[in-house]
Amino acid sequence: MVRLKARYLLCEVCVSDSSSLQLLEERGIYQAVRAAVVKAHGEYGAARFSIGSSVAYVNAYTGVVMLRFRKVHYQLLWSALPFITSIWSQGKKVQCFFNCIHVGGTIRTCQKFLVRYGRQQLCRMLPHCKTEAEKQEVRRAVLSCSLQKFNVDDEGDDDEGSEEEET
Amino acid sequence: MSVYMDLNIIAISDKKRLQNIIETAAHLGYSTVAINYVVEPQQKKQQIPKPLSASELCEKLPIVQGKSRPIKVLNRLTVVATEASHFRPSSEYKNFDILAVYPKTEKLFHAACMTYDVDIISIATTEKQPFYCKRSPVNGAIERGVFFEISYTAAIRDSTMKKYTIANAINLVDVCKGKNVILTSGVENPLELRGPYDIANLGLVFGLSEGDAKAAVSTNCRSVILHGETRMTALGIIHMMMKKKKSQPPIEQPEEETPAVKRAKTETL
Amino acid sequence: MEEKPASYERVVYKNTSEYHYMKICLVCENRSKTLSPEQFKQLIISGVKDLYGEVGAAFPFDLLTFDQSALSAILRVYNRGLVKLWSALTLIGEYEDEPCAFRVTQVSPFLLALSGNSRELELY
Repeated sequence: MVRLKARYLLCEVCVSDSSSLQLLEERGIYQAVRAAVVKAHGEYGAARFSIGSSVAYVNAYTGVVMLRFRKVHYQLLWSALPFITSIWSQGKKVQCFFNCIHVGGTIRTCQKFLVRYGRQQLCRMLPHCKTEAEKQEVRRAVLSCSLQKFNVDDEGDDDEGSEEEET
Repeated sequence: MSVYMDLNIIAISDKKRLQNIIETAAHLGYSTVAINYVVEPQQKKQQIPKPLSASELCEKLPIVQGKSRPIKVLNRLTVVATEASHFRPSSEYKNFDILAVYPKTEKLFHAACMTYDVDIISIATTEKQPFYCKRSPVNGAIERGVFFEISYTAAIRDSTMKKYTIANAINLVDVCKGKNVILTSGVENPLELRGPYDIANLGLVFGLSEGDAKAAVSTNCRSVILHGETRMTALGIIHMMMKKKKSQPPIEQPEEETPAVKRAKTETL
Repeated sequence: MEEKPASYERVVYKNTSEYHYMKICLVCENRSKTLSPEQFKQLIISGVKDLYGEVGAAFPFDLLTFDQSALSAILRVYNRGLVKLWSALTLIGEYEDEPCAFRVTQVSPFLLALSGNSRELELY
């Protein structure tokens, strides 16, 4: 059996108002990406997109989206992502843009990256904290995930935990 | 120098338009065309049509551009199969030079690749392929010398069809690695026909390599015709035909049908 | 002095041309159809845009000559865009809701080669 190689694009959906992130859902993102591909690459792009593309993971809290494309044409489809300006989700238009943060060959490498990325984000947030309570909260989150670093098996849980505390 | 062929011209009742299409094909440089009779057995009481012979169609076949020979017209039957019972080899199939099947389900696709005695398996171009072409039946079909057909007319007619045609074609080319693919037109109107070089170029868009794309309109089509001949004769080696003589009763006379070189090609397929 | 016999000279280009030239012809159902060169180019661009989107439509190509009576033209396109342009021309099926077809007569990396057409020679 020949393996069909895929590429996973980890993208950050950047919005001006972070509460609208809650509206994100798979369907809306899929359609927004497809519309962008059709606009940029026409029917040929649409045909390529219809082969083996999907939204693999959506995190509505952090706005992290994982897109899955076939390896043979992921560069073509990737080139359309910067042209996404809005997503229609749950009947509302969300103004946003996509920022690609990682390209991985498997879901596992993307997950590993996301954990590391989430941790970095926590550290970056620390100087921006205004109140002491916020500072304490972030410190606690940083510590909790640094401790879990040694616990290799639990990386999946770690991922979810750190992401949610970031918001 | 290869000759170009278009093995899918839909048989329409309008004889004048059909002649016009054949003339256009000759003008564009196709040396051989096949008139395609499509039967859909799920519609009740559809008879397998009697193919018109080339002489009935036009009194004088047009001369192929760049060559001094007239165009060759073959007959082809396409069976649209939605159930296993639809494809029944019968004597009526023998009237046609080429036999094609258009399977609508995965099970039939598998059967068409592995067991059916056909020359061409058509791939959907007007809708999204309802099943995924698996590698094992496709490899089986390649081993048996059965070819896969992509027709491009739907892509010219409509924008959404364009997407389906390209997507299905890319899928197919991916699975069969560019081997055993033929590109045909499926025209009903002379203005939908395109030249052989244009189609070879279109093959590049479908993911074929340059050599495979050219083969898809020339040598692969030739193999299809030879495969059709082997179906009617005993593996293309012996061909039985009745000899009409007054004094003797009809004797079956064996006749060498294809030269040794051609035979070797069909056997290795 | 003895005259040399005529001999063929073989010219080999080390670096191939940057462009490809295409001689094309538009066939319409309505024979008397006339187009301005702008409309003609717009038709091609819209065909490219339909198949390859805005990225494809942005690729430059030039309309070198255009014969309004025969609706034939010579296009110049970068090698990289040849396949895209050609396949888009192939899949153009209608102009202003009327069936039409582009017939690509010749494609060559040299403009001079388009001056004669071996395919139109009558061989008997």
